[in-house]
Amino acid sequence: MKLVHTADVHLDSPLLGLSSYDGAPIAELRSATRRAFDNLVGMAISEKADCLLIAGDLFDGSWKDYSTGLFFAKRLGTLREAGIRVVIVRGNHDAESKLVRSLRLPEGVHVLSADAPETVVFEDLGLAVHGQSFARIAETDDIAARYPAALRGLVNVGLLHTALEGRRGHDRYAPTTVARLRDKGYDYWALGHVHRREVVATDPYIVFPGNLQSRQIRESGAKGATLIDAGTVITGVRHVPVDVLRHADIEVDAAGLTTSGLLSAFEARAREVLASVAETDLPFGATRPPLLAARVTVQGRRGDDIARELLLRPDVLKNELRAAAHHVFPDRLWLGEIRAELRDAAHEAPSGVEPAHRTAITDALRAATWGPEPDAVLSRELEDLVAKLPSAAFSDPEADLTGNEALRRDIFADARDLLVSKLSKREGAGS
Amino acid sequence: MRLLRLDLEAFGSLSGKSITFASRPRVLSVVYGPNEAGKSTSLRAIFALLYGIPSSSPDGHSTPGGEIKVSGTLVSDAGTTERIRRRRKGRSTSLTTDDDRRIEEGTLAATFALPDVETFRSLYGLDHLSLREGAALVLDARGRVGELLFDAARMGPSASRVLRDLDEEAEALFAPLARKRPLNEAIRTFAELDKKTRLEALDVEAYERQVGAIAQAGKEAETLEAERKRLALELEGKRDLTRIVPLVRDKRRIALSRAALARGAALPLAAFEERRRATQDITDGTALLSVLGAERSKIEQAQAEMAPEDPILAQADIASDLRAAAAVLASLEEESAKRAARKETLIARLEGAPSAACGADDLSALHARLASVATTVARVERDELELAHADERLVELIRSLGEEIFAHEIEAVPSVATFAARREEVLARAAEARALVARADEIAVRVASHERAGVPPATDAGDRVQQVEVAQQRVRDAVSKLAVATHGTSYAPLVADLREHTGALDRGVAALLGARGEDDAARRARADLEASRRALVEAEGARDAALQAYRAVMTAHGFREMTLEEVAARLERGASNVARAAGLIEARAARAKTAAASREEAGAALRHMRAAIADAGLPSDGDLDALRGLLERALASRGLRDELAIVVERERARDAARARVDALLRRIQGAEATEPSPTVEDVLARLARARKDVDARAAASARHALLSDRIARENERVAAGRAKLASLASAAGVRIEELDLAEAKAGAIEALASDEREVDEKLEMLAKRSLTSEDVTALEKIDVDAVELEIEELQQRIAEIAQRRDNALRDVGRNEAGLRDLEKETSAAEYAVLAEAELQRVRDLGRRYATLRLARALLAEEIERYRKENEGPVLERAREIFGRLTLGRFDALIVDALSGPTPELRCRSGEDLLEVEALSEGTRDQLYLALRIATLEHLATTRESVPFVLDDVLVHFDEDRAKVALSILGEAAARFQVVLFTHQRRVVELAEAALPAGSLEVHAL
Repeated sequence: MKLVHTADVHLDSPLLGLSSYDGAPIAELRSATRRAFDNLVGMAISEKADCLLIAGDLFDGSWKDYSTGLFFAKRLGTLREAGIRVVIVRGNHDAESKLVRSLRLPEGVHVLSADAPETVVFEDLGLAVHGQSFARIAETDDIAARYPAALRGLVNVGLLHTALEGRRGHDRYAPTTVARLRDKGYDYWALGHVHRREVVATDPYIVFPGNLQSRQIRESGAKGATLIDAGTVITGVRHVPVDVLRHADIEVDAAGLTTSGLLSAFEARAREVLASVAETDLPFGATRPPLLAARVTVQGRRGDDIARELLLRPDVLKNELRAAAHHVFPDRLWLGEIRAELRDAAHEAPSGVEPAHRTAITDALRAATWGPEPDAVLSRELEDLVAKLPSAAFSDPEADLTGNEALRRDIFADARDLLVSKLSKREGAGS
Repeated sequence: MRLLRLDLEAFGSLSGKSITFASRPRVLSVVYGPNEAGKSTSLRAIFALLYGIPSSSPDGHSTPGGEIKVSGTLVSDAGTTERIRRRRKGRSTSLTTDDDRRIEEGTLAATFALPDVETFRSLYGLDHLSLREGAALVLDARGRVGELLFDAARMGPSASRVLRDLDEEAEALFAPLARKRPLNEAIRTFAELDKKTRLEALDVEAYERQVGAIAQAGKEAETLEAERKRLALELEGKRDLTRIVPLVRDKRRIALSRAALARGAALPLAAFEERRRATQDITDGTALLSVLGAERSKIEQAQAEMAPEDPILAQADIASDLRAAAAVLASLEEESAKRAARKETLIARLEGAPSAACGADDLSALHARLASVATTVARVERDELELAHADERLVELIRSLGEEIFAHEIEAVPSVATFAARREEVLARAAEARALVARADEIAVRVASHERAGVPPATDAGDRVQQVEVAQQRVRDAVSKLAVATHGTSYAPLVADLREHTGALDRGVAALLGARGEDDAARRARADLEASRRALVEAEGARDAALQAYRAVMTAHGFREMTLEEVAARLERGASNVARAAGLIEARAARAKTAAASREEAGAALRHMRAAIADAGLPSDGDLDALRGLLERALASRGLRDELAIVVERERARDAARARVDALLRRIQGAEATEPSPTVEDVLARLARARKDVDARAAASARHALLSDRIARENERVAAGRAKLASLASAAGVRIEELDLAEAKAGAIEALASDEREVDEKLEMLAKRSLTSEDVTALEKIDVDAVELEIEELQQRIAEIAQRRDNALRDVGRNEAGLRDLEKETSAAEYAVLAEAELQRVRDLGRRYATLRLARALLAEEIERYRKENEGPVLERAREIFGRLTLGRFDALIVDALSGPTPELRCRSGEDLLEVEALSEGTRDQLYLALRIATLEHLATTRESVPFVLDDVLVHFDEDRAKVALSILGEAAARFQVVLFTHQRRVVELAEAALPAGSLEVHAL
């Protein structure tokens, strides 16, 4: 018997944090989650799976396009024609979703009740699936506690949307403990909600498969589903990537490097990342890595050529990095974000030594610190822009220019470093 | 902090020089040196001492090992004194105290409150070029006090320019009312994409409405279709009626016809076939009886004419034996006739043939063994022949070996320098090697001749192999020595020299390019370059001379140039042939041994053979061929004797067969003694004829019986037919002659019945049931024309309903197409992706915009803060200095706080109040110098002082203004150390004139 366990499909949820630029392979992003789901369906059919288990969050809660639901229903129809059973529990996003409420699914697809735990038994497979859907978005009860005991003589699977004892970056919904899950005597706990793949335990298996398709840089690495082999017990568990776009972090230490040195170092790092994907994590059925959406972090020292270049002429260096990316992996490596991570130069005066010349403007600016005054200045300077920005620009707390303290502090640091660079004699000579 | 002493221990052209600065304040230090004296080197040394020796420093070229070393003594304002030393050699650098204790850069900077190197260069260093740049800053600031003061406290782009750059870049990104700026465009694009996302999203209610419309139209179509079907059924019923009514009438007509025929006799249908069969039997039977009767009469006549049975049939058994015996006799007589001639031949051939005492098998075995012995002897002889040929090849090989090795050895010429000496050595080696191989050749020839003469080969073969191996080893030694002799005699030393000189040349050129101006380094570089060129020419000359000498020697001795590798390869090949020769000798010895043993074995086998032949009673002397002939003849005679015995045996059998035939004939004759004795053929022919007659008689009887039986049966058939016809006529109540008529009437009745059945079937099919008589009566009354009218009406109604149904179906199709449009996969999600990417672009550009705006605001605030903190004291002192530097032309600097958004500086000259843009270039130089000195003096009041280092800053000052400037610098020296470098003697003299005694120290380079 083969089971496929997936969760957090978030169909048609747009990919976040990838800025468009001329030549960016944006067409590749379209329908990424749909194509990943198609890959999942193809994988299940190809592997002759008997049952697909979906542990919640089919759609984004706020998404209202009914065609997304129709797409999902059609693919479930394809699975039904292939003789693959489907069991679903709804997660927090689904509880919020109007789509889920009005969607009619094909016969034979089991959406487990939100009122109480429900068990579906497939006698021919020797399989019992227990689970309960979320009735509301913020499900704070330990619903796993009410799951029934394992049925004798069957492979028992628990289907649950949960954050367990809590997972970073995820709301603590349907909290429960590993010990609680073990007590149920099931053979496999198919969990959902946490977007990072994690095998929490192996006796019994308690698995978060991660989301099907990464949507932002925080979700880097191969994304897909878990393929389970079972006889009378679980005999094998493996992760099968099905993603069509993958987020990757490329960090380049640019301390002391020239621009050409940085580009060489970047190409070398990019090739390493690519090689790693090609060797170990190709998506199911693919012969080459998927489109990579990379965040490039240029690490360096304040005052270095590269740091100054990034501050003074960010577009020039970014375009050169994008050209290098195209050289490494034509049309398949998208530099969605390029950022600098600067530290103070090592030769600066040791801590505790008061700068002798505060009157020199660069020293004074270097010593300037973030606080209410610069915060107020920034707010004043951004008034015009904020009035024009769409409300969506403030929807992501991490990208909110007006409300994110860390972001505003970073802007202050950039402004300070930019000033120091511009006021230095080199800048005068170079421009 | 002050610099008390500077020691240029190993530092370019000034290595070994020291400068000791006054330890007390109020002394202006002037370092004077004409061009090329080392003024720039001294300046670099001060920077190197305080901040390290840069890797690109040109000051290591003329120092021992390229090491740069500078040391000096520093004293802080508080009196802390430290002597420090810096070194650089290649990439290795160090900062130590005088006693070689390592010091951290940070500790040095902290102890003497050193500013960073950029600040030191820009704020505490000033030359005539940076003074001009300062004047440009003054112009750039357009009199704004904050920026003027700010720019006087640093070097680099003016504050005004930085503010302008930041403004321009921010505005190029975004402006509240613009449309084309990138951030404005990104915001607008996002809004459009976001709107499209919402518009393209499939609304659940719209979808459900579309699905509902499809269902409703489909239901209506179904209802109409049901009605159409119902009417179609009704129509079909009416049509059936129009077909039923004529049929009912046909049925009535048939009934009437049948009633008419029912009167009178008729033959039953079942009797039709019986009548036909009876008539046929009578006809056929009568014809057959006639034929069969004629044949039976013929047979009876033939039986009456047949002869009586022959009595020989009683002797049939004896006659059969006679036939067999006669056949055997014929066969044996034929065989005997054939063998008669062969018998004569055999008897003739056996006369005088050898007769062995043993059987044929033993003779064959002896013959086979003899053949084997002959083969062994032949092989031994062949081996001996091959050995003789191998010896010839060996001799040839060893001879060619000598030629191979020494044909070319003397061509290995070592080199130019050692040619003569090495030539003799090589020729000696060659002679030695040639003698060795001649010796090997000689030995090989002797080996061959000894072996041909039958001398046992194995006794000294080992010695000879050893000798050849020694020769081989010595040849290898010769090769090795040749290699040693020629090693290192190529052009390598010459080429190396050449490269070294070329390298020196390159370095000279590099040094020249690196040097700036007409200083010592440049002159030294030029000298290096010339020396390198000369060395190159010399090296090339030496190389050409050596080549010519080499070629001359080679030509004189008639040698072609040949590489060592070629010589070695040839000698190696010769050595390899020696090894082959040794191998051949060993193989020769081994094979000779084997051949002798084989010969011995062959002799023993032959002796055994002779003994065995004698045992067989045959003569055993003679050679191998004679023995083989004898055995073959003995084997042949043994066969002839056996064949003759068989011939005699067959003749005896023939005679016995003949006697038996005669006996049988006599037995047959005994039974009929009156007759003369018959031949075997007569007896057998008579017997055959008697048997044939018996068979003919039996066949005639059987045929007669068969015919009689058939005649009886045909008579019965004819009688039965006639009886049947009579019976049928009687049953039908007619005479036999009237049977035809009765049968025709019965046929007509049956045809009507068939028609009626057909009509009934049609009626039942149309009415879908059997019709009762009431039904028929009712149907006969129906008016078919009226029904036809009803049918037309129904057809119209059905067409109408079908049209309405089709309309409903088209509605379904239209709505389904609409649904498919709604269901198209993508759009909204795709727009969402584009919108999200554009939103991220908005965020990225927004962040850059925020950075630029904040940077601009921070700079403006910093400038203002600096102005507020420093405006009073600095401007006051600058006003005084500026007045003195302009020799009183400008008596005041006025701050105008009311004319613009920020306070601006005006220069008062008498009654005029000038803006800084209106000042001449020289006056702007002086204003900037005034601001700079005032700034430094102000700084020195609040924190550790830093030396002010000026480099020919007064080149554009006239003598009066230069004197005033030197006087002001002397005053500044009371606050901090002032060191003025100059290449102008005039400046020293002006300083001596301008400054009081004891306030000036001059260091001449």
